[in-house]
Amino acid sequence: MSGTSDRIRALAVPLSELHKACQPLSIEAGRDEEAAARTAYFGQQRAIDAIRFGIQLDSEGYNVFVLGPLGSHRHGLVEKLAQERAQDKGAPDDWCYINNFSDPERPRVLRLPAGRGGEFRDNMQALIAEIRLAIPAAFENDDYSNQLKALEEETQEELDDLWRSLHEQAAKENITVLQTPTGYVLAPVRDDKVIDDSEFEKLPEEKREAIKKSIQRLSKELQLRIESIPKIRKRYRERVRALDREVAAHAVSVLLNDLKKKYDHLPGVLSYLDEVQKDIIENAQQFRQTEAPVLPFLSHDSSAIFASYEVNLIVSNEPDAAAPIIYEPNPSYPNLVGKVEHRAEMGALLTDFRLVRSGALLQANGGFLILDIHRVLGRPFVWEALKQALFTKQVRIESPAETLGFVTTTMLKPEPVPLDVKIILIGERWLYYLLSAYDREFSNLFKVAADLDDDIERSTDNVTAYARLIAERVQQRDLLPFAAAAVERVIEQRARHAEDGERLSMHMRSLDDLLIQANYWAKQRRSDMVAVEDVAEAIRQRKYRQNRLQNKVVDAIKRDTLLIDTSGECVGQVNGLSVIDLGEYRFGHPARITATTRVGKGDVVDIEREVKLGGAIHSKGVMILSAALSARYAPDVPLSLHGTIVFEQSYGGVEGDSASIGELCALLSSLSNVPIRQNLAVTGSVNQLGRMQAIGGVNEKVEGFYQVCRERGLDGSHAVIIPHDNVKHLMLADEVVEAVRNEQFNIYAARHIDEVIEILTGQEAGKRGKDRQFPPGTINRLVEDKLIQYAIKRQRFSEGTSNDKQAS
Amino acid sequence: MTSKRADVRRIMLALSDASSLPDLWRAATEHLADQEAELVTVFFNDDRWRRAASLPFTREILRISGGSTEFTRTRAEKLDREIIAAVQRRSQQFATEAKVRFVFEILSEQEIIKIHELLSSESDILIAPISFQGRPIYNEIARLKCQIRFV
Repeated sequence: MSGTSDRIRALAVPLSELHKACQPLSIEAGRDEEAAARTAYFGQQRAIDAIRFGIQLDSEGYNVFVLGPLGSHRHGLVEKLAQERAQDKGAPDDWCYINNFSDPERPRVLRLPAGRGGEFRDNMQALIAEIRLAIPAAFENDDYSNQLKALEEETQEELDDLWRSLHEQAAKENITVLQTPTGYVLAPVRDDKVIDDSEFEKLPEEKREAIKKSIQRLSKELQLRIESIPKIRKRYRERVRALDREVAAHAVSVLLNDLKKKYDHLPGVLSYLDEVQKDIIENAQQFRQTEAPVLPFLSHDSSAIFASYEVNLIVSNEPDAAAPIIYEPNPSYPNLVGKVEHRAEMGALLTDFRLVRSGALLQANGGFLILDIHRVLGRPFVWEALKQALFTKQVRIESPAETLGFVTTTMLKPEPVPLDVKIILIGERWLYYLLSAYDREFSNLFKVAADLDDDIERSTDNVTAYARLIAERVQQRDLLPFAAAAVERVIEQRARHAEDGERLSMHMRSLDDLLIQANYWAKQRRSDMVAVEDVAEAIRQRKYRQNRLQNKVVDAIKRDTLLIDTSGECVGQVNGLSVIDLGEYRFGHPARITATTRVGKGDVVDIEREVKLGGAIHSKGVMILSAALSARYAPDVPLSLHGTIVFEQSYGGVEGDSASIGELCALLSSLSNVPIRQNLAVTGSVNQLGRMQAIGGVNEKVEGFYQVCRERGLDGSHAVIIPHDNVKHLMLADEVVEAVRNEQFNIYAARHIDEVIEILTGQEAGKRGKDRQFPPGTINRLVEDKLIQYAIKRQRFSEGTSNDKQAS
Repeated sequence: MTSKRADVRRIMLALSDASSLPDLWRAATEHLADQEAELVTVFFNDDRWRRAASLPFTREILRISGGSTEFTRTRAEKLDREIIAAVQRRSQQFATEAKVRFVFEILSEQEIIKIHELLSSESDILIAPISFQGRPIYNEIARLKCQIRFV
């Protein structure tokens, strides 16, 4: 027995391993300027190299996907690295939409060097203002009026001549031309009076025939004149138009020549200015339109005539600026691709090239566009639109309905803009893997994955660098300086956050939260420096704000609503440990595991799985138990056991295999009929060879059992057994460490089921001797004997059943 | 500065179609502005259409196309009725707008006595379209003492 006790004592985790204290630091965060040197993103070298590689490689598909959890300061890192490259790239060109004079529904795009777009827009505005004055003035000129009047008179004379000659000719032949509302009637007259039928009949035959012939001939003459009137009017209009063009051409060429000289090195602009000049000349008549509209409410602003010469500057860059780095927090379709707006006029929605708006893709053209992948995927049509833009290397500003062909109305179709942008997507890993697996185009477009580490090794150098990182963030946020001890405490907390005493969490948001909250508590006590107790207070207060549910669970245990024994012994019953994760907070608590055994077919029933409360991993753990029993005990006989395992009072799902060691111990206790100490709790998974394996949440689990025991009164007998492989993860709360130091609480680290069962029962597990037998009286011997008994009973039962069948 | 008008007993608007009605009424209302005169609108029925239509070979040449169509008595009478109705309706509208009372008469060019009664005095004014000068009745009216205004 003393050997067992010695072995158990040897399994106790040394005090120093319970909470790996930070090495002493000389840094005082916030005071030591040198220490606050640029240290950001250390430990992320692989991700940084990947981002740099992606950002610098200007080749198709080399867009970047930055993988990392929320709060890992991904945006800051990406923006910082993009800025390095943006300086080299310089400002990209400006982009404008201009009117397409031959097809206004398809506005054209115009490219100008950075900074020249705004200047060109302003120049065109000034030109329009000048044209508005100059062209009407040209048409109000006396020369123009005289020429126009001469044309009018010439035409009117031509028309008068037509009718005069007809009337004269008709009068000579005693024929009059009568007007009706719709035309003309030729009638014979005598003594200025139209001849009626009775008078006509009285005329001699030859006279009547002559009248008829005259009317016939004059009718043809009249028809010819009627037909010639539209031609005369058309000729008049053409001559007026030619005159207008001549006047406008003179006025506009004077104004445009200066502008053409200014942009003579930009062929696109020159070509556009030529088109403007041509259009103004062609539509010169509009500029002198002074008549009121037929319907007064149809009157419109005269500026609308000149609107087609405006320039819609959609992307503007400063000439000396760096390449743009755009982060679009709301990548909806219009925000990403752009949109064509409409204005309501007389109940109709109208649009033109001036209402084309650019989205983030164009704003970032020539630079970098940073997007959150979960937002991209969460907004309709955006992912497809982004991929299309990258594949086609152009941005086509159209509505999603148009893209999908749901709109049959004539819509504005702006000319696509060539696209040269580096997309940097930021998202969590699972989204990256999901896209890689299910979107075949994804890997062609995002060839660079930058995987940010969740944590880094807690080496001496890294701790020093981490302290500098803390100093930098303290300075950036203008917090009170942190004392060296406070920095050490923060670093210890970062190890706890990483769930590993040998690593440090790189989750920057939670680090910032801790620093800000510690700063708050220091200020509360009117200190000019953050001390270690402020950090401790921040940790304690955060726990206090979030542990309502944890206290409910402990209270339920304390009041025996949840049945957990923390003293005495019991066969087939063991205290397991589980963790409840509430997102930002999680805690551990004990859970009773019970097992029963009897003769059976060699199966261990997991009641959680039977009622579908157990997850796949938990079920796997339970199945391993059958294998572990088969492998360890009575190998020469069939396993003839029927065991049942249950998490008592568990009403939610159970997942994970961290209870499998506890479940195995409960089974062994049931088989051996040796009671288990209830002042202990155990956590860990086990393989089928009996080896203990590490589990997650070890700190929370230990603290969860400690809290229950503390509530009931610590007497030094309480302990938690954890896998030895989890010792390196221990970063326990000060209170627990103190309790261990004062021998009020213990923590054991075990590697094998034999060690665990010895601690739980206080009895020797037993190893097979040379005779291949476990020593008598040991746990393993008792278990093996029971399993052999079960096998014999089962065989007898089978034989009995068989005999009964034969007899019958 | 406006010159003072001589006293007017009657204003007669001579109408033959609706085209010059607005100008005629504008001129009439200007005269009526400071006068207590009687307003008579006379539509001179033009029998030339009916006479021309009585001839079997008369055709109407359409202004819009230059094409021709038969010009019958029925067509001529219909045109007469439509024009009279249109002139009377529009005259009523102008009178309502100008808030004046008027008498509407339809006369043929042969009803010389009636015309003499209407325009016998120097204080009578005839307001007529310029095309009225081409009508045979104008020669009769020109011999009367009345004042004549063309618009």
